[in-house]
Amino acid sequence: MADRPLPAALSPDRLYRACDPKSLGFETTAELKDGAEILGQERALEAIRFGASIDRPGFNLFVLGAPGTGRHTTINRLLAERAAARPCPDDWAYVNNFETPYQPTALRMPCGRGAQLRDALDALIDDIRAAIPAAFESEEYQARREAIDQEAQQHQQSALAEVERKAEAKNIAIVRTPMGFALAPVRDGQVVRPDVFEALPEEEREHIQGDIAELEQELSEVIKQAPRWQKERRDALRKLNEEVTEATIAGPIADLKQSFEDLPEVLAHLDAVRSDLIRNVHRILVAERTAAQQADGTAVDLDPAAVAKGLIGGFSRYEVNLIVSTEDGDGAPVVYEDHPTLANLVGRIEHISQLGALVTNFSLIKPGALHRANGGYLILDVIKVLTQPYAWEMLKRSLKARCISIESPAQAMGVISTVSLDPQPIPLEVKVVLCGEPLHYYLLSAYDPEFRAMFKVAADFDDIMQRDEGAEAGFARMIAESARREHLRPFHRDAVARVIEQAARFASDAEKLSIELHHTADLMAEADHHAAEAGAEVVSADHVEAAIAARIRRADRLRARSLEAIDRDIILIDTTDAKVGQINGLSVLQLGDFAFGRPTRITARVRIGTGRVIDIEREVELGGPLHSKGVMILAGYLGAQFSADSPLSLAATLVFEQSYGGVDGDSASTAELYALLSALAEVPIRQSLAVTGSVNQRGAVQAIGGVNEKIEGFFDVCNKRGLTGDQGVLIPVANTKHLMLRPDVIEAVRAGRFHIYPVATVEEGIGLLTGLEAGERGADGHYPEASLYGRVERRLQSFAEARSQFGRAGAEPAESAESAP
Amino acid sequence: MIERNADKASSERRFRRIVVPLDVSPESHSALEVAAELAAALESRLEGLFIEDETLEALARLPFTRQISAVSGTPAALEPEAVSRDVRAQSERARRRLSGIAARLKVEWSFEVRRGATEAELSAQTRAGDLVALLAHRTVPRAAARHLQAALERRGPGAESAFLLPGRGRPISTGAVNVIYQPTESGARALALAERIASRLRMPLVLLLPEAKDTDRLVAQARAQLTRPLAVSAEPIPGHGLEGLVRRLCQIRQGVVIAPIEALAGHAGDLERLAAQATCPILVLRDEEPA
Repeated sequence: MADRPLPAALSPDRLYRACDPKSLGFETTAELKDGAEILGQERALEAIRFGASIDRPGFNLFVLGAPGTGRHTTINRLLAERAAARPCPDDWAYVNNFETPYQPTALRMPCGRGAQLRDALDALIDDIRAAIPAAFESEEYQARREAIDQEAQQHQQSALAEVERKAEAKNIAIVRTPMGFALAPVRDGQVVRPDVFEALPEEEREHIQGDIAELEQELSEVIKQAPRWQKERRDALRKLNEEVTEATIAGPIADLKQSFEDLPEVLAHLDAVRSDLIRNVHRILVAERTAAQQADGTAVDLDPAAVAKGLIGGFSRYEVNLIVSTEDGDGAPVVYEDHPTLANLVGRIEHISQLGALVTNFSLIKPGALHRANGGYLILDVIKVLTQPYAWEMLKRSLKARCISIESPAQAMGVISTVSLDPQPIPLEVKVVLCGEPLHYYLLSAYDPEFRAMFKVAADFDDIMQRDEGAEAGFARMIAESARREHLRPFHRDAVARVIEQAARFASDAEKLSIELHHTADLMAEADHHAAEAGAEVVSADHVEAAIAARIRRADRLRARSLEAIDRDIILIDTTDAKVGQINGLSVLQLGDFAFGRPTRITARVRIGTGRVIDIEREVELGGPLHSKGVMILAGYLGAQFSADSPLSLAATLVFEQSYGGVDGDSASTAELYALLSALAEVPIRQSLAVTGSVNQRGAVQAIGGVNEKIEGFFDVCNKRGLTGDQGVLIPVANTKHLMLRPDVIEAVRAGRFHIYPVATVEEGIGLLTGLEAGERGADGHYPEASLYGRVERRLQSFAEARSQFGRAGAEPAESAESAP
Repeated sequence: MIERNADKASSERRFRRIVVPLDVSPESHSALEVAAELAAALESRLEGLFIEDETLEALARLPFTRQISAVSGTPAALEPEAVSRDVRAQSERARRRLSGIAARLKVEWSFEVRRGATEAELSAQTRAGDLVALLAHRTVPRAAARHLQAALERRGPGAESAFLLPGRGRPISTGAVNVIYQPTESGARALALAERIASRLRMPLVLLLPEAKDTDRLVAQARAQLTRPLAVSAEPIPGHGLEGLVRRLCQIRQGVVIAPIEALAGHAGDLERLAAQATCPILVLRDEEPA
C-alpha cells in the first residue's frame, strides 16, 4: 500500500460546532435587557453614520445588502436617533394665489405655526361668513345702496323729464315704441294723424319738424348718457361694497396680522386675502349661495365670472392647505414610503367633478413623501422606486433641483399640454436613503450616470458575521430583544444556543453566523408556536428542534421523492461494491428557502483520441459554464500529469447519469477526475463513498458550497438502505470548518457507521476510493507500475502508440471509436 | 270707531280679476310678477291685456318720425310695417311670459289683445271689482305720473276697485305687508286686505301710521280688527302730509304697500315722485262706491 498516509475520517466533534448554553450567562432571555447592538455591521454602520451626518449635496445613502439583514431596522434606528437631535423642520402650506390661481403659493412657516395659521384663517372664515352677509343685509347698507340706485335713476329720469317738459311745451309727445322712443306732434292730447299733419300749413309743418328734430337730438343725448350713469352707479356700488367689506374685515385681519407679525410672507398673504375679499366680495357671496344650493340639491346656474376666477367654494378660497405640519420637539422626520409611486413621492393634484368637468384648486394639492420628509430623512426601497413609472426620474430631478415640483404622470409623459395647477415648487432639503440588494447598486452604478453623483455613500450590509463567544452573546441579546418585540415567550438558554447553531447552519459555516435575520426570526416564531401548543411558558431547545424538523418536513416533499426514487432503483445509485469509471457525485437542489443534497452517478469512458474530454452535459447544453470550466481543468490536469512530453491521445466522455435538468458549478470536478482516472486505469471505485470538491490543474481539491446538504443527501440514501459501516463522503479539507451536520449524521459517525473524509489532493482521494496509491514519478520518470497513476500512464501510452500506428497507416482514429474501459 | 264685523264682508271680498295692461314697452312686463303673486294670494283671475296702441301706427305714418333706440340713443327710421311686426312680437312675448308665471304660481289666467288707444281700451275693459295694474313707464316719468294721477281721479261705476303701482316688479313675498292705516272705513278695508295677503303669504304685517298722534290707540284699534294670528308691528310716519308719506314709501324696498286712496291725496309733484321712485308695489284701494 501507499507510503502516503490516507486522510483519517473526521471525528464527531469536528462535524458540528455546538454553542455552549452555559457560556451565555443567563437562564432565559427574560433576564436580558433591550438595547442589543447591531450585529456584524460595523462597516455599514460607519457608512450610515457618515452619510447621515454629512450635510453636502449628493451625499445620499444607498444601503445595500441581502434581504433580511436588518437594513431597514438598522437604518430606522440610527436615523431616528439622529433625527431626534436635529431641529424640527418648517411647516409648509399651499394658499391661493389670488392673482394667478393656477399657481398656488407655497408658504413656509416655523414648525407649529402652520397649524396656527390654518386654524386662525378657518376661524376668520367662519367669522366673515356670517359677518359679511349680515353687513350687506343691514338697513344702513340697503339704504345707501338704494340711494345710489335712486341717484342713478334720477339722473336719467330728470333728464328725460326735462325733455318731456320741453316737448309738452311744444305740443310734442314722447311715445314708447317697441324699440325705444318716438316724438310726435299732439293736438288735444292725441297724436296728430298723418292726414291732419299734411293739411297743416307748410310753415307750421316745418316748425314742428324742426322742434321734433331738436328734441330727438336731446333725447338721444340723454339716452347716450345712460351707460355712463350706469357705470357711475356700478362704481359707487363697488365703492360702497368695498367700504362695507373693509369695515367688516379690517378688525379680524388686523388681529390676525398681529399674531404673525414675525412672518413677512404670511403678512403679505393676509394683505392679499384682504384685498381679494374686498375686490370680489359679491362674487364670493354668490359662490357661497351656489355652494349652499348645490348642497341642498337646488343647484342653479353658476356665475361664469366666478367660475373663471376660481371663486367656486366662496370663502374657502382663503383656507390654508397645510401639507406639512410638525410640532416643536418632534425632531427631524424619518419617513419610509412603502409605495413610492410618482404621486406618493412628489404629491399629487386631485380633481373634483363639477358640471361634468374636472376642476381643481390649491386645496386639492396633496403632499408626497418628499414633502413629509423635507428637513429629515426619506427611506425608499430602490426596486420599488425603479418599478414605478417616472418615480426614479422625478426623485433624481427633485434631488438635483433641490426642490419639489408636483407633476402628474401625464405631465411627466408630456401627453397633456394644459396644466390645471402649477404649484410653486418647495425647496427640498432631504437625505434620501435607498435600500436595495447589491446587484441593484452595481447595476445603477454601471448604467445610470447620475446615480453615483447623487448617492455617494454606500452602506454595505454583510449577511454573515464571525462566530466567537462574544458574537454568540451578542446574538443571544438580539434574540432576547426580538422575542420581546415580537411578543414571543422568553427563550431558554438551551433554545438560544440551538438558534445560534442554526444561524451557523444558515451561514453554511461553523465559524460564522448568518445575520439574514428573517431566517432566525421565522425560526423563533415557529418555536414559540410549538411552545404555545405545548403550554410552555418558556421556549426550550426541544421547541426549536421541533420547529427545525417541522420546517424541513413541510419543505422536503421533493427530497423524499428523490430519495424514494433512488431506493427503488429508478435512479441508479450504488452504495456498495466497486465499479470502474463510475462514481457518486453530490449535488444540491435549492428550492426556495429549502436546500437538500442528493447523489448523482457520474460515469466516464475513454478511448483513443486527440486529448479531448467530452462533457456530455455541455454538448447537450445542460451544463453551465462553470461546469464546463471544471471539465476543461481535468483535461489540463491529465495532460500535464501524464503527457507532458507527448500528445494526449485520449478521447473521454463524462456524463451525469439520469440528470435531466441543468448542471452548473465545478463541485463535481474531483468526482469526474476520479471517474476518468478509474476508467483509464481500469481500477474500480468504491461505490460506498460519494465525492464532492473542485480540483485545480495541479490536483489540489478546493472548497465547494452546500457541503452539509451534500453529506446529508448521501447519508440519507445510505441510511435508508442500511448503513454498512464503510460508507462516507469525501469533502475538500477546506470545507471542514463549514460542517454543521444534522444530529443523526453525527450519531452515525460517532457509531462508526458513516465517515467523512477531508481530502486535500486528488492523490489522497484516489487512495480512499480505489485502495491504490496514486503513485509518484520515479527517477526513471515513470510512475510505479502498481500505482494507479502507473496504470493510467501505461494506458495513455498504449493509446498514443495505437494512434501513432493509425497515423502511419494514414488514418486518424474516429473519436467515436470507443474503447472498453 | 269701526264696526269690525260690519266691514268684514266687504273687505274680505276678493278681486274678481287682476288686470295687467301690457304694451310695447318692456317695462310694462314688470307688473306681471307682482300681479300674479297677488292673484295667487287673493285667488283672483289674472288677465293680461295687451293693447296695440293705434297712436303708434299713426306715428309711423308721419313723414318725419324716427325711433330713438332705448339702448343706444341712435335714431332710425320708423317704418309702419316694422312697427306692426315688432308689436306682434312683443305681444307674443307678453303672452308667453304671462302663461309661464301663471303656471308657476298656479293662477287662472287669460290673455287678450286689444287695438285702440291705451287709456280708452283699459277703461273699456275695466269693471268694478277689478284690480288694475298701472302702466308705469319709468323711463318716461311724467307719463307714469300721469297714469297715476288719472287713476286717482277716475270715478264712476266702471272704475276699478283698486289699482296697483307695480314699483320695480320685485317679488312681494320677501318682505312685509305694509298697510297705511287710518281710522276710517277705507283704512279698515285696507287693513283687512293686508291681513288677508299677509296671512296667505305668511308675511309680517306693518302698520304705517302717517301723522298719527295717538299711536298706541291706533295700533290697539287696528289689532282689534285683525282676525288672524300675525306678526304685527307699527311704524309712525312723521312728516308733512303726502310728501312725508311718499318719502317713506319710496324707502320701502321689499314686500307690498296697501294704501287707501285717500291717503294719497295731495300734490301732483309728490305723486310724480312716487310714480318714479317707488321700489315696492303699492296697491291702492278706492273708496267703496255706494251700492
